[in-house]
Amino acid sequence: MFGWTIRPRLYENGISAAYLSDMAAKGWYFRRLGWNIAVFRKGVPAKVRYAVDVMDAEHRKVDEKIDSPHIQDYLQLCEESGWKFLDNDGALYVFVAEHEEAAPMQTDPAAYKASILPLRKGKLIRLLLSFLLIYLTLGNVLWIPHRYLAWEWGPTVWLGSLLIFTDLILRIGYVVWTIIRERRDLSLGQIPEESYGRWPVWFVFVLETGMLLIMLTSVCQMTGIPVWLGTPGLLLQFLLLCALQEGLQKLGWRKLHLSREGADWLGQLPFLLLIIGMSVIPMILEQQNRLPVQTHEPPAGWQPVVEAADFGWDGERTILRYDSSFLAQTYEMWEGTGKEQLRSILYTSEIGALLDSFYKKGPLHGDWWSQGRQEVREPTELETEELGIEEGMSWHLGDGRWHYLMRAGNQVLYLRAGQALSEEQLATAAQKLCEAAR
Amino acid sequence: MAREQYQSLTEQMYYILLALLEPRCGVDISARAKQVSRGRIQIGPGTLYTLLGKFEGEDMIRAVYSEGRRRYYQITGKGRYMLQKEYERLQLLVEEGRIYLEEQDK
Repeated sequence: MFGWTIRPRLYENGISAAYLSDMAAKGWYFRRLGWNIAVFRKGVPAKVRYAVDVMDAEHRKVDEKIDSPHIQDYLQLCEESGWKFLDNDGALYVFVAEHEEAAPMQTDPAAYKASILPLRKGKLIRLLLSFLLIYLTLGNVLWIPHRYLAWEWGPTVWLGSLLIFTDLILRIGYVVWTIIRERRDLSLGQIPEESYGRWPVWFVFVLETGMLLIMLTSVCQMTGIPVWLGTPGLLLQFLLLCALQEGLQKLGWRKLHLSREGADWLGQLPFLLLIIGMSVIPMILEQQNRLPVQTHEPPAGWQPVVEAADFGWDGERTILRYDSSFLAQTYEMWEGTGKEQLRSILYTSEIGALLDSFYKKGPLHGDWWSQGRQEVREPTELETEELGIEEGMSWHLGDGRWHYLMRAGNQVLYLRAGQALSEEQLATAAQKLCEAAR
Repeated sequence: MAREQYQSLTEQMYYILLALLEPRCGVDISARAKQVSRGRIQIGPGTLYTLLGKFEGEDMIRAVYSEGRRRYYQITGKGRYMLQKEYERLQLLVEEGRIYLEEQDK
């Protein structure tokens, strides 16, 4: 009978001798490694010694295969010392002790340090690069308040990003803790004891599978690609990226004759370019207001009422349009691009009543404009309480080009700087909205 | 790698070099080291493989012949020099320690 389990990947190696021994004590004997899983054979519970060894960094060649003379010498030496080879995953080799007297795989702290610590450091660097990549991409989208898209994507994206960061932080923390612990033991002249995070398998499965599904779903949601198409597409992209990484490593090793470390860094180049492409370039484009915006043609028959303001520093402008169906749609326009994007749909059935109420108290604004005052001010207490005007709205009009006129519900009307409305013009604008509301 | 470019050797390194005063292959090196140290020193295969590679890279040992898959190594002149230096260093440690401890006992 065979079984398999998700490798407890919340520690850096993905497999440990202590874990395999624990599984053997429960009657599950290690057979081989698969992609992200370990395969076991059911048997009688017993005490079994396993060893997971790492070939030292300087002797690990980039594209060395298991049947190469170099590896075979190593395996034969281990076998003669009482360790039977079971399987390997890259530089990790899994052995089982054939007798109790077999000497531990690593007995010299200096040799252990040469084998293991470069692996730890490499893993830590890759995790930190992944963290940076995820932070600059997801964080750039989610955590900058004026990025309105974040709020519209909803809980799926937030949950997905939370799980991703939780996973990364746990792994980085574990690698850092392991490095500190091992350095401490090595400085005392001891081989560090192996340990692994005894996370329940179900916890790992739920965390990693859930994270993957939510991440894929949220990316599809953000890009508009259907999930059925986006999921295999993203997996394919990931596989291509891994293949590219391996190809560059081999190129660096064989053709460019780089050192092992140099070839590893060359292999990381696609990820570094991805970091730059997905984070820095959008930030630069955003500063120049040159980000492409999804275009959307307004429906036929829609007429602008008044053009409204720049909302602060993004260069966005909201254009209010209305028709007779009691709906108004707001559009955002990136300044200088001429492109519009549908932002939201507002219901204006209450506009008429609100404007009537507001206009009866009109002298506040009528006087304001008729006197030609063009200043930006905070809404008065009356406006806040009766008209639902949010305080601070006018603070966005810092450039003096637009001025707050009136607000009803979610709609705000502004006037272009230098333009003053007479009371008649003001009444006409309000009348149009009232007619639309009716 | 070890202790500032082999200025001093770890126990495992010391006994490996001792064992290689005569041509020996992998598991025989571990067995000889254990014998010379009267069972005190155990050299694991992972450690042995790493250190053999390091010593060969530093020209302290060399492969002299092979029998099938087994490679036999022997210490070189440079390796013998390093071993001798380590032996003298350890002797000095023991001698100075002996003098000081005997003075303390008086």
